[in-house]
Amino acid sequence: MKLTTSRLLLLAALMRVAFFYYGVYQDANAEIRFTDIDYFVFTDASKFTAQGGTPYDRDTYRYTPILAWLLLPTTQYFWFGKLLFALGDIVAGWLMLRIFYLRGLEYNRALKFASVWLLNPMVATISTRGSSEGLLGAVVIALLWAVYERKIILAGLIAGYSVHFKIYPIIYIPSILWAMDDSPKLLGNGIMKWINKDRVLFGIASLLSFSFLTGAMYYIYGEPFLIHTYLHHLSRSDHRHNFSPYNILLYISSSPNVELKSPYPSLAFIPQLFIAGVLLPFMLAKKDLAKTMFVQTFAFVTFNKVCTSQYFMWYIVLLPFYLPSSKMLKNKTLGILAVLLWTLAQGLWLQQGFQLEYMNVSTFFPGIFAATLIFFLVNIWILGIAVEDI
Amino acid sequence: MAAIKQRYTFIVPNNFRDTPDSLRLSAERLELEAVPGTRQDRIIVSRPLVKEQNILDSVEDIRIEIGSRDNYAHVSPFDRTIQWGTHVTVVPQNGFNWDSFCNFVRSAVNPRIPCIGQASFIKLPYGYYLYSTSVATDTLISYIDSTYPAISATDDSEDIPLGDLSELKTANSISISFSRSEETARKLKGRLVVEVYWYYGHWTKTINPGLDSNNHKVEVGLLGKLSDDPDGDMTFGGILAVVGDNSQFVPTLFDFQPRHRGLKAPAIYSPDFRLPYGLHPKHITNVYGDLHVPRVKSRNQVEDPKTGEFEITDVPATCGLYGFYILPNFIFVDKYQISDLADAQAGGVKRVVGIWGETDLEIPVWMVDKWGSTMLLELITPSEAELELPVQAAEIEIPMHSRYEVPDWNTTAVIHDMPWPSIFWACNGSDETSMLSGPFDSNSLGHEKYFAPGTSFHYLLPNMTLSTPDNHTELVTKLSIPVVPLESYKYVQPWTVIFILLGCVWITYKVICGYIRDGGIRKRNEGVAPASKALAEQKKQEPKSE
Repeated sequence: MKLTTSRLLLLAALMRVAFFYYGVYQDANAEIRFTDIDYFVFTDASKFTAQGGTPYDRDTYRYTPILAWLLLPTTQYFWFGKLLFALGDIVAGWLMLRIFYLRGLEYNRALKFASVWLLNPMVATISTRGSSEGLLGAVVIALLWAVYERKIILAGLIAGYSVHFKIYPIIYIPSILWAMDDSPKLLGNGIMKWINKDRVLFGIASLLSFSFLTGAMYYIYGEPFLIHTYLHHLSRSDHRHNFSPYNILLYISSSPNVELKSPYPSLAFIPQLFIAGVLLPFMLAKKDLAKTMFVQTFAFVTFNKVCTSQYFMWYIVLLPFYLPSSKMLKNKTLGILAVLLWTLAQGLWLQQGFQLEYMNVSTFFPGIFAATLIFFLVNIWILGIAVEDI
Repeated sequence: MAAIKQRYTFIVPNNFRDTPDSLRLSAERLELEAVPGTRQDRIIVSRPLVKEQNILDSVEDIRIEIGSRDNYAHVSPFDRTIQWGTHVTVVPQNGFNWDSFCNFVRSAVNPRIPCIGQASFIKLPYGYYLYSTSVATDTLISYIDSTYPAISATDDSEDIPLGDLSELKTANSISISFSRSEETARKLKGRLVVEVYWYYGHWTKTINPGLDSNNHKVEVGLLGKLSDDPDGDMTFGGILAVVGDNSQFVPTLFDFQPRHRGLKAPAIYSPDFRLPYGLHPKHITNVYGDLHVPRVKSRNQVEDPKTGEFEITDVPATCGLYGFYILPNFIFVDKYQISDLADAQAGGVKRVVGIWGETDLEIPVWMVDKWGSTMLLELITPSEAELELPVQAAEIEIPMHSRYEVPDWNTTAVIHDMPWPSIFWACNGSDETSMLSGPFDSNSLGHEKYFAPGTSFHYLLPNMTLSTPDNHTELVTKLSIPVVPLESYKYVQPWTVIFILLGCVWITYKVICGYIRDGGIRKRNEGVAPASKALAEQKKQEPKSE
């Protein structure tokens, strides 16, 4: 049977239905729950909102109230959020195919590469467990699609919305602006030539949509909205072990037994934003916007102070754009090695994490520390190849 | 009423017979010789003599209670159990001075209690509560000794009426309380009450009358429990004397309905963490024994519809089985997870009465401001089919989470002591509050405050041998939490930075490689977004392959 767009989307949908029902089974029967802990945070927040409270009545709700509103039906139908997130996956996949078309990728190859997202079991698992990252993936792909379609105002509105939703898409703004070369100039020549119609429209639209949404949420929910949705991420002291190379340094350095606090964790945003927000956009965005956004996201997550496996979704959604011309696809050995090392490094970390989390073995040092650095190295190596490819 | 009332209560074994050898009462003093049994000393000091006026000025209730770590017995009528540690509970009124109260707690009770103001106390439905696992009593004992010379000064310098200091050090519990609350018995209200309890000993001592006999009454009772109707009154009989007044003991017989009592049929429990555990230990409490609901009758005033008169009627009380947990800052429960248990009727949890205090789900131990949290759960009781069995069992499984601990030198684990929970039946009860004015009830401010005043409490016993001087047993669950050894810092910091910089250099190098290859920041003939129309045309001409 030949793969077509509708068949691929149907297959992706069926896969999610199967994962969803598997989750229902696991939740009812197994010790470890399938449904993500965050899903309970979202649905509780919706419940509080429905009862006339605010989403922030739920501890650890760190998202825009819009998410809680979107999930209001979960007060009646608990599964609704999972449906929405899985739908987000599929919309992202569909838009991905549209972008492939615009980029002139051959139909069969487009289907094949979209499958990397649509038929990826990890992606399907994360959405059906009830994590909102798939929804964000759809928004980011929609942004990219609008840019490729030259729907500049729509792109700006989506960009503002995505930054309001999860801050990190702000790294896409310089890339998109930088890439918008092909548009009538507005203010003469020389350096002023840079200010062209697309850039002005995109800038104004994204600023308006971000300000409107954020202003409206602040108007409705006040201080708690700012504190929980944004400021928390600046001051977060979440030391629970994660994939970030900064993890153990953060844990030790923030503890009261250390006389000399390490200055480095508070400087961590410098290499991260320099690479993801300045170097990569400036050097690559004019070559290929979609691929640039992929490596930007990959770099942002790799250099982040906190990194859990959900963050991988942020760049996996953009991976299909990078793959078609990738050196790692042409050179099979390199490709397999990259996937293998990425998986093994995670496996090592998970094994050390399991020893700590469930077996009471203090694997912080050297185990988890070494595992985070190895994982960092593997990521940097892959990122280097990808950057050079563009 | 005398300004100071001092009462010694000895609960002696039923086979104890007083002989001239064991008890010598004269107009001047009472001498005890190896009297066996449980002992409680109670001193009630009236307001004008109380030294801590500034603290007591604007407070409804205060209770400071130190329970020893030993597994000691709660002998009737002193059945009320508390978990070991120091418990400080305050129900303040407007203008309560937290700073001077905390000064008092640190200087007079225990300097190791982290009391720095209201911020140190967790908010409970009825007041504020501070718990500490420190059980040192020496500061408190020397404070009482030096502040209330009227109690401790005697004409015979060898003896101090409030037990001599070495006796106090062996006490199983010591409490100080003050109450203006309406629920408090009249004779205690507005007075400072000090109570000291020893579950067992052989008492050889001399008890002298108060220096000023008009204002200082010293009473001694030797009592035995004569009967204990599980759903009604407890009867005690024995002999009483006011030292200095009576030259002979007066026989006594009285009954009362106690608020706290042991269970008639034995039921025991023991908690532990399920092995292996990591950062998410499961706290398991196994309960065995007779788990039938205690047969308690509650006395209610019922209006007779014919005559319109009120009659006192006994009706069966409704009882629930409860678990009361103290969770110091190194451990916490996720309130949402516990509610889910109750929703699913899983883990032995029937209902979450409440979780109070530090319940943040993320912060490490050093960012927890207060001492920790408490949790009161109603537990699932055995089904009717299970009650047919000769012995019933229940398992309470509470998922807990340990906080990230402070890294320390040369160690990969921090060991903490966690108190056992209390497991008890609470039976809702009488409209009348006669139990509150029972002769042995005090204005206690613990788990009982979560229930209506007429509730009676029936305690399950910890499954552990009682502590003796030769064999100390403690109701302590050890919890080991892995930490990162501090000496790793000298490697972690430089290597993290080196790797990050290496990463930056590598990515920059690769970007430059691409720049050199393409001869700029642009690719030939490729813009960002080829207009779709142009692209479609291009596509018709030649299928572009990426």
